[in-house]
Amino acid sequence: MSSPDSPKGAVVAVRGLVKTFVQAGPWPWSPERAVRAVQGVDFEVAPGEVIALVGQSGSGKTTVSRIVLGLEEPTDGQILLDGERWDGRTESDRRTRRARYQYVPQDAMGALDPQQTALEHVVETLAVLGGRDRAQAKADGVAMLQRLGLGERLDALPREMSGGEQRRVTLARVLALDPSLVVADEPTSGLDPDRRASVLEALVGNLPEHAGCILVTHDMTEAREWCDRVLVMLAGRVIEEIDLAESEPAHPYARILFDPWSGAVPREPLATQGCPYQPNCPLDTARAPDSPCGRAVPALTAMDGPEHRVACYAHGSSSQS
Amino acid sequence: MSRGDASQVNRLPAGMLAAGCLLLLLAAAAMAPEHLPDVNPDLRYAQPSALPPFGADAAGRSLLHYATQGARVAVVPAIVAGLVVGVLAVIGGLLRAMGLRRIDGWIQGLGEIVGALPRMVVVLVIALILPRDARVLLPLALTWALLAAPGAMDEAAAVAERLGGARFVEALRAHGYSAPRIFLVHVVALNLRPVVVRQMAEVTMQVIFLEIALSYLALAQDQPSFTHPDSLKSWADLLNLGYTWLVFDDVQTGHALALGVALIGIVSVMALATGRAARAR
Amino acid sequence: MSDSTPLLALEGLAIRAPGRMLVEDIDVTVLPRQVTALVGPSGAGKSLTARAVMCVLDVAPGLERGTLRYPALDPTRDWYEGVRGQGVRAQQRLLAQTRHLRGAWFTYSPQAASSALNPGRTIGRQLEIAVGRRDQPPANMGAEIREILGQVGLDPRVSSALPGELSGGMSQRAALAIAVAPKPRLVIADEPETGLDPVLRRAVVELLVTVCKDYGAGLLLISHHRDTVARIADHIVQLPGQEVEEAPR
Repeated sequence: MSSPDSPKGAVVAVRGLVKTFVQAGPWPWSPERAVRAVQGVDFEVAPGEVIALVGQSGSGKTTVSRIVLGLEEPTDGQILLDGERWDGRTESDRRTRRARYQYVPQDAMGALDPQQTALEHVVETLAVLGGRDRAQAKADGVAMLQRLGLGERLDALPREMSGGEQRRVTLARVLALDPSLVVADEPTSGLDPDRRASVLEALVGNLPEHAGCILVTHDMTEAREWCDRVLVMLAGRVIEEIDLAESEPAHPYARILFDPWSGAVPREPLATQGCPYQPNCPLDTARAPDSPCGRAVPALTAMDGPEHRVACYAHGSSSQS
Repeated sequence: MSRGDASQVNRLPAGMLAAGCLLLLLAAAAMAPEHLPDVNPDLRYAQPSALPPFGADAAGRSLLHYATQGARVAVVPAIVAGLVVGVLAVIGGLLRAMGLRRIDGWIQGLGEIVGALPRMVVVLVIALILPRDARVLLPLALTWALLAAPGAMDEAAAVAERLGGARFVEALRAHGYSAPRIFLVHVVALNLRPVVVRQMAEVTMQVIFLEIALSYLALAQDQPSFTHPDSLKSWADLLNLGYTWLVFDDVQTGHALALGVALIGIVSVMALATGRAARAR
Repeated sequence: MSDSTPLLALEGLAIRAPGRMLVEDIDVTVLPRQVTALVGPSGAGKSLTARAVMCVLDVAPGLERGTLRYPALDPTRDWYEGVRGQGVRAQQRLLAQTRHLRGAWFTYSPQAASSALNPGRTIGRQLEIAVGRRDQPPANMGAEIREILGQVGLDPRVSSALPGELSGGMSQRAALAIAVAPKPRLVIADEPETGLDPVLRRAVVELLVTVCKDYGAGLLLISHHRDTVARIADHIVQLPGQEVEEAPR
């Protein structure tokens, strides 16, 4: 069931993704509130590419990552994995393919079975999902764990492992399946700087050659160091798409995200009409009396090259239709 | 030796011991005669050599019959009660793991009411209401099991919660595991197993002791056992004798005590061994 | 009491665990309206030092050397007197003796906001308890609580919320509010930026610093974010303690 206009070879293609959550009011008779978590997101991940989804909590980055894998259903839009529609499929349909599209959850401990050792986790994965027989699964499992530096911890239970080790066991399980896509939700949260580097190295360093990776993070140094492209999200939209090796962030929010001490701290709540960042924006364009910023949301437009796109009127965006 | 191998080695003897005890008790229960044989004065207090394996009592009846009857009367209902609690506990744990909040909520509410009832009193009331010919341990054991179930379900739900509840299930689902594998293998077999088995063993033991407690009721009916009129001597009598039983001048008392203690001993060993074999890592 | 009298003067701290020294030769000074940062790799003993500063010594055999003074509170007393090398009992006695200081004279904001907040009580009630520890309770408790919440950028409605109902950033700020509510002389913040995005991180840190300066308190900040430390620290204490760098700004 492939879509005719999916780009050749993209591991993930997200089109017009919208997700609105319905939140019940405080009382049984109160009206429900609609929370627009994602308001129109488009992007692609090419084979071998690692992209970062960054933004503050509430920006929609986690929701997008969950929808890509089918953990949530989108309200509107399409998800294409390896050119095939993923959203709208039944769960039993998806289950057979899940081995190729893997998820590394934020809470590593919560994804591990407290009654299984590190090796048992990986052996089960390989035997049940990887089509290996027990002996082969064990051999491959040992090899995988050794590659991730867990050679001494094969028989450790999750509660006996440190946070970093638990993360690496979840990574081992995921990478052992040779996936085409890995979505990692803040894989280094709660770890010290030295441990963070080792977990990311374990992840990115051991990705299959043609795999795509989506890394949800709010550590900008990580995004800069490990990712080919960074997507900055704000209020449910992508406001900048940038290759940090080539360009510097242009959007005022992205700039402050990457260097928090460079400007004033944004204190005003986000605007619900027009560009969400307008109340905090230091640029003249936003402050001008007949500014376009308050009227309509700016569209993501290419800036200095097709790789660098910004949603900012000051940088040449037009309104979103 | 890796951890995996070591714990396997530890569980095996315990598991075999538990299985052995269970088989012994079930075999005894199966062999039990419907009614005791007739009185035979020639064999009064016969030695084990004359009437294997345990000899005869004051009425010349083989003590083996008492033993097997005791097994049937007490042990089978106890095991059934244990199974009932086990099944309900697994359900309680699964509901929490599946995140079925509403059903979980109702059952918790119901459980709170049931759990507040004084177990012994309820059982005694039912015991006295039962018609004479229906006075066996099984309905009382089932009542006990149903009263104990809310607590067991709660504990199992807590274990499921600690596992990570819905997040754990979601992570495994995203990984690609099927629902049966997630719930039956990971939630039930690996994680709920220790607490459920422990609850089952506990209830089984409690029902055995319930049988003992009920013998005090039997005093009111002027028979040795409340649930079964053919026993050697009631527990109430045995435990009521004060210092005299130490003297063992009544052989009957000695027999009764020996068989009773043996029964409790085997059931206890079975419960402990089962707990050990099924324990968490 | 001037702004030059230190709130905290710790010298030569050395704590032993079975088989090794956990920290050695640590000096920490905190002056009013100033920020001292405690930095170092994980496992170097930052949290241990922070607890030692509060007289919470929970390792055996424990304190071996060091002197601890709170000059602004009591110019001469060395609180480690009688505890050095005396084992766990003496440490527990010190803990009991200094109980009245914790939560009042100095407050501690732990790494995870969730451990600072009591999950069973509303934020408002927890703030009320914290404010109640001041030397002079305010005339209008409700107004005071609203003001504190405003200072940390939280809506007054948060007062009736339970910790579980708050997002990560909000509970971090609530924990901060509780740490500053008793108007302590010294605030010890253990990695308050954990789990926050860069913008929120800066906001929280700036808030800590501003509130401390407004109240005339000193701040002992544990952080592993170099940019934060470079920006706001007046003094830096680097662990492990073979070479203690005191780098005045």
